[in-house]
Amino acid sequence: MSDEPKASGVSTRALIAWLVGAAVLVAIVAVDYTVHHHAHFTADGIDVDAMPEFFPLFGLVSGFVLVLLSKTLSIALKRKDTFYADD
Amino acid sequence: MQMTDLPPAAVLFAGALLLPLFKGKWRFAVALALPLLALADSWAVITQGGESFIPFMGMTLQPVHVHAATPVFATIFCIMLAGGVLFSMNDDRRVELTAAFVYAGGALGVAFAGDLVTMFVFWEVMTLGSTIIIWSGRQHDSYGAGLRYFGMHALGGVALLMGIIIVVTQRLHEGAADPLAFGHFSAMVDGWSHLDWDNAGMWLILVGMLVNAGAPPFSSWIPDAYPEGSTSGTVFLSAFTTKTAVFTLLVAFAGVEVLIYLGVYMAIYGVVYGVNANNMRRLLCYSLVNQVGFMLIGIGVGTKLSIDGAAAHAFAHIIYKALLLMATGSVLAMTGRFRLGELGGLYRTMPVTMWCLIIGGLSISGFPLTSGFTSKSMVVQAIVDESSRMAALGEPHTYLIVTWFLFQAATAGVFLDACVKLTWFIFFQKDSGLRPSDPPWNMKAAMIGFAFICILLGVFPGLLYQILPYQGEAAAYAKVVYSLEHVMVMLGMLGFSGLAFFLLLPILKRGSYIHLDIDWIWRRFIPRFWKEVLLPLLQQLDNAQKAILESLPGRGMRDPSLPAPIARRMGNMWAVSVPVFLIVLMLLVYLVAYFVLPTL
Amino acid sequence: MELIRHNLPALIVVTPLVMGLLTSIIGRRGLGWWMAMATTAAGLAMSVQLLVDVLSQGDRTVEYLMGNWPVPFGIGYSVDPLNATVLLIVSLLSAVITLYARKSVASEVPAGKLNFFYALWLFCITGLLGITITGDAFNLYVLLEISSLSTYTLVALGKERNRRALTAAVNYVVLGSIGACFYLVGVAYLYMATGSLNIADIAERLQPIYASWGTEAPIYQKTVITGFAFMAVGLSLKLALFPLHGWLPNAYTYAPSSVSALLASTATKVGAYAFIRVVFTLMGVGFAFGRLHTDVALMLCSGAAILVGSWLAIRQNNVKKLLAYSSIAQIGYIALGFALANKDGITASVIHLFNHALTKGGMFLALGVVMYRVGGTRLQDLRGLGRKLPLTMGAFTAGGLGLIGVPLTSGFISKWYLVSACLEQGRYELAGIVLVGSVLALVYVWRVVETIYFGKREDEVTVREAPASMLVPTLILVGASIYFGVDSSFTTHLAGEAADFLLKVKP
Repeated sequence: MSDEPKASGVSTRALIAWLVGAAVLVAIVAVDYTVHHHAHFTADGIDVDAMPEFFPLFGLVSGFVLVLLSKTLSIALKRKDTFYADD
Repeated sequence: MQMTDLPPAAVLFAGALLLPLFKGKWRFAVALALPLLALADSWAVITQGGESFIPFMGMTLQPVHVHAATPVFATIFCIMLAGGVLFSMNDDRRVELTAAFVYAGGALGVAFAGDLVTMFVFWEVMTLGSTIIIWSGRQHDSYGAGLRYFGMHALGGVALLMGIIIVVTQRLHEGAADPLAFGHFSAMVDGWSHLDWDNAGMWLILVGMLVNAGAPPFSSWIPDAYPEGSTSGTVFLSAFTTKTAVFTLLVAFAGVEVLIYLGVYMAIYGVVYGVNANNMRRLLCYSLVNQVGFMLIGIGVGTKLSIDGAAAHAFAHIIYKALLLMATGSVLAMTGRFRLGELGGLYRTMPVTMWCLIIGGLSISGFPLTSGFTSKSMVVQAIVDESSRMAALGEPHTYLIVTWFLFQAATAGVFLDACVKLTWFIFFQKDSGLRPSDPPWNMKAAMIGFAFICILLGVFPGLLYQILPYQGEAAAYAKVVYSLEHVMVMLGMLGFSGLAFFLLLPILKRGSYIHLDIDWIWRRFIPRFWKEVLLPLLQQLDNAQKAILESLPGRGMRDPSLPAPIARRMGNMWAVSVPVFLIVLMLLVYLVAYFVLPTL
Repeated sequence: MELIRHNLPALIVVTPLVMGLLTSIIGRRGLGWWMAMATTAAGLAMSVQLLVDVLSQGDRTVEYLMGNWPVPFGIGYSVDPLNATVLLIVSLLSAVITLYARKSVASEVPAGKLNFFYALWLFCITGLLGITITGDAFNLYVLLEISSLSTYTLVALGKERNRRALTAAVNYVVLGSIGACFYLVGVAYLYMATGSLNIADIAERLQPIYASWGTEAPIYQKTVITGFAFMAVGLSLKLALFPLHGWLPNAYTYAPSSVSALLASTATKVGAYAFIRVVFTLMGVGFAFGRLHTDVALMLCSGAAILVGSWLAIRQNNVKKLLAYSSIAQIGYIALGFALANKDGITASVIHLFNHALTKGGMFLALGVVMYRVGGTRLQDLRGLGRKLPLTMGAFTAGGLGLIGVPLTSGFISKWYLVSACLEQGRYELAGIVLVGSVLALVYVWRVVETIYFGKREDEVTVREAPASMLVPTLILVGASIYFGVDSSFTTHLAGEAADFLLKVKP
């Protein structure tokens, strides 16, 4: 998906994969709305995690934040993998 | 002689001695049988009691002792050794196999160590065994990585030994009944945030153990050294050192708050560096740090449930981490490539490996119906319980809430990193043109066996829960682990973290890069500083010293053919003049000191 | 029998002296070794008996008057747990090393000089045993010279292998004579102040002198202090305490293998004993450490000895010299122990005297085998010997583990007590130095072990394992060094007795 495949067959397969994946995610969110979610830290007045869409969103955001954090660090810390071998 | 008279570790050490005597199929059979014998022996000792005592320097050594956490760790160490042996058997690696038995024997010895000296001795035995495994890795930097690994662990060992000496000295002065006892340092739980003489020994022991656990700032030895093992060597390495450290921390330091902070750092560090990693086995080493971080959090929280969780997670982790490293090791063995950027499209010809990797990846992320789900969630639940308990008492507990959210984020991250990314880049993405087959039967058998255990523990968590340190807590938790809400939380979080991966795919292109870590300080900065700053400075000093010495009388006796860098001058005292000068100088110093000091 | 037993303290010194004289005049070749062997074996038996006698006494001392002249007029020998232990060390090591010496010495010393060699060998042992047992400060000087003069010659006999032995011996003569001379000057000053030469008597007569120093009319203050300064420097040199270690590395390196082993395991130990005796019994801890703060100087020197000795050991390419520098570091541990002047410290010192003698002696013997079989002791000579000399090199490696202080070796026991002693005194920095020393020891031992087991030989020479007469003594020493690491009750008991004795006599 990152590199656009030339053969149309693969592209169709990728499309199907995307659709199936999307359907699964939609289904998860849908089920989430039917399940009662408890807040974990009620004593501290934190109830954001009781919202049915909280954990999907949290997973998405966590993924983004961690990858972006990692890529930001990478700018400064990236070296050729022969870096230490050069000594 | 009864079976309980035989220390379990001795079975494996005997194996290390016996294995070189056998050849071919016989070696295979013996190497598989011994870990199982050690397992049987362990359980004989655990159930029937086989405590032994040896007098030592007026104190008592207790080489066989059953801690609350011993059953779970002894069991997994034996299973792991058997699995690793099965995986390694198609290739004739005699030295590595022997070293693996020494290494696992050390780990099993620590799991049964009832006193600090025994623990330390086996600890160092492990260092030796594991270093030899790295050296027999035959990767391009195995020797250097092994040396760095050994140096790191030798320093950690010194800290540990120093700590043990201080603690034992203190206990002797207090007149403790059993000064060598290896058990919980209760005093440390309250006093961890202050450093004074009364707990300096414990701090040093803690540091020594944390070095082996891969805690910051020494996390980098794991991704540095482990990928330099052979395909099977890395599997062995991933299992014992860090998990033995987890065991000792669990025995000695449960409830020490600093472990929570270190654990959170490790959990995040493992993901952040893992996302950037290009070497597939190094990526798994970063996620190993991440997972040990989860265990440290469990130990740091220190409730019965969290300790159970840490122990269970160590058990589950050894299995699925070994599984992941077996799968990536198979890919390495069959293709000769380890960079993710050079792989791809292998789903066509390596289906067994792929499914095993996926099962391992799902387990490491705590996906429902896998072992990671049933073990890691105990720690998560324990954080919530402890937080509400402390809230009820009105004690500060914000750090627990923050920990909980970061824990969940790291869980989402490790799914993205060690499951989705790894599977995608090895087995899908572009077609690399490689058409390797699945690995030989023994490697497949080991992978399938471990994958089976992952699922088994996910479906029947009670199997593992009943050997945990606090079985009552675990049994109660078994009733709620598969609540619908809990399952949906994980599915939602993991699913959308996977989505984040595919959305971000364009920026996740692999290049042949490494990323600098704290080890840059001693691998690059200090050597360069020595070479380019200190050494020239010393040479200047040397020249100055030379000028002074040349101006002294009696230099004729010096052998002029000798070169004179600074240290050699002190080493080669051919001439009598310098020592004689020193004698007179010393006499002067003594006389001056003796006549001046008492008058002060 | 009763006569022999009563005269044990004298016999233990006189026997090797007389036998040495006999050896030097007999003409038959090959008889020298047998006489040396018989003498040292008898010496071992006598010192064991003497140790048993001392420990069975209520006051833990055996006094003996030479020719029944009462002290301070005659020479008195006085044996307590400390010098009984050192006597045991010297006679045990000399017996085992003599057992080893026959083939090794025959290959390194010209055949015509063998009897001469063994005569000197016995004189050297006479001197070392005498220094240990005598209770007379001047007699100690005489015996010091007997051992030193014979040692110079023994070192010089290494010239057949390497001419540098001569240079080393000359250096040693100059420095050793200065050291002995300083000691003698010190004794003279004390004689001037007290009019006595007997150690116990001087100690007694010093008490009124010390007492007078706070008052209006201090007597002999400068005399006593100057005397002690001379003795301290002279004995530091005999002990090879940094920075006065200059004579040691070359003397050990170029001497014949057996001589290196004997010197490394006994000579500096006796020097350390003499220093302890002067500080604790002669001058008194209250004066030497309490008033003059010699302990601070000793701690500085020994700390530096540990660091510098280990560091220089890392840089050596000749393994014998590497071990010599390692000895300088180990002397640092010994001196550090008694400088701390508490029970654990002195215990550590005495245990380390014993353990290090066994360990280092064993390692030098193993190197002697390398010299005998391969003809050199440079690092490249040891390459790949792990396969060719498995037992000898195994012994060397086990000894190396002891130098590092790995648990279950005797080195661990000494370091354990030493670190405890440092911590008890609150000297954390010294405890740190001890541990850094262990890490450095790890490095220099590793360099050799790596060469032994992983080094590739260019020349495929056929090297056979050592002959039994050399292998057995090597294994005895290293085996004992491991044994006393596992079961340390004997050494800790002895050292504890010695420490109790010394601290009890504190004025």
